Amino acid sequence: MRNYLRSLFLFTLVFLTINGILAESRQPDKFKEALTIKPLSDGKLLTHFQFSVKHYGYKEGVVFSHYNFFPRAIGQIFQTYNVRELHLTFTQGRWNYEDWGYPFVPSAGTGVELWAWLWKDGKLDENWKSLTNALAGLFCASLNFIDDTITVQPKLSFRPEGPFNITELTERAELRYGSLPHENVCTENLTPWIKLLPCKSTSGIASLLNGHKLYDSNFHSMSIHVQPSCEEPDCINQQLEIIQTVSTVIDPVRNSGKRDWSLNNVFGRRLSQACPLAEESNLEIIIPEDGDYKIIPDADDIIQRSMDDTDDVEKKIAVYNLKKIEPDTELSMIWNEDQFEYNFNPVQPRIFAHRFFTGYGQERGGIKVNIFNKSPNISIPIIYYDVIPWYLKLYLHTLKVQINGKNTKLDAVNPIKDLYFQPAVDRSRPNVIEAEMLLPPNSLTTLSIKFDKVFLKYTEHPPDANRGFDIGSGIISTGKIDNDFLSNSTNMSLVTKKSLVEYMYFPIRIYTETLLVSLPTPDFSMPYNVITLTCTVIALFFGSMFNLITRSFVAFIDAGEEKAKKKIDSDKSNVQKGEKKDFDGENFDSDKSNVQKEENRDFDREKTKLEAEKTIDNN
Amino acid sequence: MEKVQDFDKSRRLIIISFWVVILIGLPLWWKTTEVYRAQLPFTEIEEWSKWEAFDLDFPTTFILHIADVKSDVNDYKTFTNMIENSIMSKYNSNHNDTGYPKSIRFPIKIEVVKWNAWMNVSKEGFNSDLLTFLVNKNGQYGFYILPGNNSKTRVLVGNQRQAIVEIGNWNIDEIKNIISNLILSLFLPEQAAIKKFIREPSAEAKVDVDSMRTMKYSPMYQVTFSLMNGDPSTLLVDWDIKQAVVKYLKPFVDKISMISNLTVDSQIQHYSRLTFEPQKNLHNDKNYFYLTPDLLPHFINAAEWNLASAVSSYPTLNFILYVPSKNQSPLYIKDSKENIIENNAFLIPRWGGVIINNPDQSVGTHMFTFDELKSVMSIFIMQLRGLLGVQDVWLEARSVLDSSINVDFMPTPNTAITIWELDSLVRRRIAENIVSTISTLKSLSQLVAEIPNMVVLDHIQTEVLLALDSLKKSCISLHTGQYEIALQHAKKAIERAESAFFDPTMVSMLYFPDEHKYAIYMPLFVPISVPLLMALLKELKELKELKTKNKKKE
Repeated sequence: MRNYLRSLFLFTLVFLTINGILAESRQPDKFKEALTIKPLSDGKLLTHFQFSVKHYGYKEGVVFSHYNFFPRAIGQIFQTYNVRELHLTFTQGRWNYEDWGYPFVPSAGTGVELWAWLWKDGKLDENWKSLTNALAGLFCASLNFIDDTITVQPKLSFRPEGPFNITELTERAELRYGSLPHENVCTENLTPWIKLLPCKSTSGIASLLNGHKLYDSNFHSMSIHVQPSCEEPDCINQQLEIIQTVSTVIDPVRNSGKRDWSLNNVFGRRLSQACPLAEESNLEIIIPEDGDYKIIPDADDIIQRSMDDTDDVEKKIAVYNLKKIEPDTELSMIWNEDQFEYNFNPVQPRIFAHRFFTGYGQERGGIKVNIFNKSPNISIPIIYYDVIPWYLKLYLHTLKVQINGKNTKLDAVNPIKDLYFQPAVDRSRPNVIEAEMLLPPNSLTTLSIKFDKVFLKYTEHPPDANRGFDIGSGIISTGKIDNDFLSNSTNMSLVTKKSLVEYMYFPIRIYTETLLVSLPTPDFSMPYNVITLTCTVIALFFGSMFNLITRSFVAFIDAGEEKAKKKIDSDKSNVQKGEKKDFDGENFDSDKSNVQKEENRDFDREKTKLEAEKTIDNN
Repeated sequence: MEKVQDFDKSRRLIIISFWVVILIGLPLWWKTTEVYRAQLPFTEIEEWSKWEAFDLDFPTTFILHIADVKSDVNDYKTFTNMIENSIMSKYNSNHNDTGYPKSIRFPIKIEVVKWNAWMNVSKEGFNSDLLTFLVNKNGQYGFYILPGNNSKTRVLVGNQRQAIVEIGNWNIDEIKNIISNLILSLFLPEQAAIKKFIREPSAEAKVDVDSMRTMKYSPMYQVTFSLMNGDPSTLLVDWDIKQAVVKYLKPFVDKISMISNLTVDSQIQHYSRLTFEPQKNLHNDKNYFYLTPDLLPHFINAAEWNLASAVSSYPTLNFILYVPSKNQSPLYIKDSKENIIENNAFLIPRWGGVIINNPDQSVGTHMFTFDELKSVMSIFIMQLRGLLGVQDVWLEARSVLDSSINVDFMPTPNTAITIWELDSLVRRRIAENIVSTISTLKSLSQLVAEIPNMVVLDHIQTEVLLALDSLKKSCISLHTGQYEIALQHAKKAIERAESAFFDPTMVSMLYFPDEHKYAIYMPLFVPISVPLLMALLKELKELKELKTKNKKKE
């Protein structure tokens, strides 16, 4: 029946396809590629590859099936499962916000993070499940482990990155989020990722993507974002855009003690030529503001541009047009210094955070998040988002907020403006905390909450149970501070919870550390030990009981002793008689003694029989 | 003495009661630890697989419209019998029916109708005039038989299920001969194919070249057209595939959708390089590269060309238009006799087709226009026909017929498949589906019988029962010649059988293998059973002794 339905569905797809063909416009796909290199303040080097393909004539609900630059694999998945927007990031290592500032692409939580807006078509959850499975197959990753116990629907934190209309969005689409902090990222994920590029890794900047160098780095992140986009403000003609990025942070100081780098020693390859399919193919170096250095060869152009959404400081960028560059050009940057002097007071970003576990033992614990607002005089709104798996039972009443170490209980000072809390349900959904907060200037805000650890069933433990369980990053979303907002925020009480989210867009996300929690682990051979032990005890018990019931036990008595014993017995019975007379009545007692006597006689008889047998045997 | 006997008695009672508990308990334990297995209709499946449960009939009716010319054809009833007898005798001489079950039959029915209006029919007006007589049902065909102008016999095949037969030598024997030959030659190849299916379903792949080429039946195929560009740095390519698909392919897709649905998509892949270097021509001044037949199996670079579908689990048919890189072009295919193949294309059985195209590389860009794609698409459609198992009925008939008969065709509508071909394909797919449903069910029942640790859930049972039900319905519809309905049921049957067979729950339980069970229960059962057994043996021994004693006493 399911197959039948499926074929019916695909059959309608054929019709849609044919309709789609007629509706599609003839404007070809556009492909752009860029490599941005940024020396970081602690001597490391950020390299960021970005490839984007735009498919023109995209219309929501109209299936397109003829692909040029846009990868067919992604297009099919995107359309079959009715996705509106898709964001998938593979990350290894931790982005060091204090030294490096904010990354170019906001998603940076360790492991795999997938979030997607899906159209409500009656089988949204089924689509989400199929989507995770299809992507798992495509990227050789364990994305299929994103099941109900991990999937979350964030209320505040994630907005579409393409154009959207808030009422239309909430009515017709839903957000799903899942992350796997334990997932390792390696070449088997990179290879299918590269195959999605129009020029693969044959030419263009993608030819620099060398697995050996890429994964020998302090941080690397690989992502795919599929979203509608617009070129004109009224957004009548939409395009479907796929943005693929790879960011790595490499440490040139580790090898030479100096910050000097060249393309060859960073990637182990030289730049060949631009991808012939690319409309634009650029290499950009963000020029540091101070320091004595030179870049060889000279740039084609130097432009000014603001790089991230937090500050309006424009940065100088050296741009090389790869369409004009000669093949096998070696690009390098040389600093005039003998040794790199580490900067102990880097310019810190406005907001950053750390999260850690508190408590000890295997029964209970707590989570603490320190959120720093380093701006000297601006209150900054943020959204804190955290997903804690069901096996840690959070207690909302233990949620405490401190500002600079002082408890806040009064509403006026309380930085939490709104709070969504989803309690966990065992084996079916995680805890979710989403808090809208307003951080006072130059402050350290601490959130803490306590939890109990659940004793898992022994089959629920992973094969490496003693390693512990990874808890994904907490996410802080914040944004550019609008001037209007600043003037309003002087009176903090004006900021109601409604205005905060609708007021601004939160394009910056700050990811905290992932955590490793160890739950009480059982001895996994225990069930078998218990079974064998119980069986043995039962068997022993049974054996002895059985023998007791079925065998007769006879005391062996010598002939001489026998007489004496008889005498004693009769004395005893007399004594018993005398004693029990008072309350039992005579008849009963005499019966009893008779029985005893008879029994004794029986035993005697048997004994003599046995003895007789013995003698026969002996003879 | 009595007491001793009492004691012995109660002891025996105790031992017996223990054994009674064990004897009742063991089957109970066995029953409660059993895996759940829904009852499957094994005997019915067995009957089907031995071809006892059903008859397969593929009835065909021919309506002969015989021109009302003064001739000896007046008694239509005897004429009908004559033709039927002639067909039967020729048929039997062609076949020895020893190899396949008797229950497959191809009854042919002949109806003869007097045709008065024949004089008005000119060849041009043939189609529109005859629409009134149209028999629009698979398995029913009309022949319009009229005397010819010269002594040659000609056949004109119409767009519908009819044909005009012009008989040069108008006499009853000639008519009988030609018509019976014609009918036999039209249906013998198809019948042979169906019989082969049924005779050796497992060895079906080895039967002949046609079935080797044809894809296994699926209700859905994904058709992917890929434009493979060897090197975009010297030549950028694009194609107008959307329009080409709508214009050239869609009519075919619509026609074939009664058998299988086709979803169509396309992609352009750049930097699609070959895994080997093609050979360079060294013989004369002509500078070109070529592929030899032994290189063709390595042509597809499965590791680097993105051909797999990420969402569909249905089989994919790939059609590749390959543009070689500048340093390998022009590229041609040579056959085993070292001749360059004209259309520069080859078919990969059960996979798809490849066309190599060598556009002018000097310009730097090349757009395959709608018109340019016409020849490309016509080759692709030819290959697609082969892959889907469409066979040219009249072409086969022509090869069997004697050469004095001329076969012509009416201009066909642009669907790439005629109604005769579609009918034949429907009949063959029905047979194929019925046969593979039966063999799937057979394998399923074997599997269930062989693995006792496998759970068989209720929905598997339902699927199997429904599949058998559809099989029955399909056979009943075949009897009455309702091929469309039979096909629908046969499709359902195969889908259900496969969904039962490939159900994810149909695997052996791995958690409690027998060894595991014994290992766990051993410490319980062995120590318990030793005293019990010993007690029993002792008791029996004593009983025996007692008996001998009693005998002695007597």
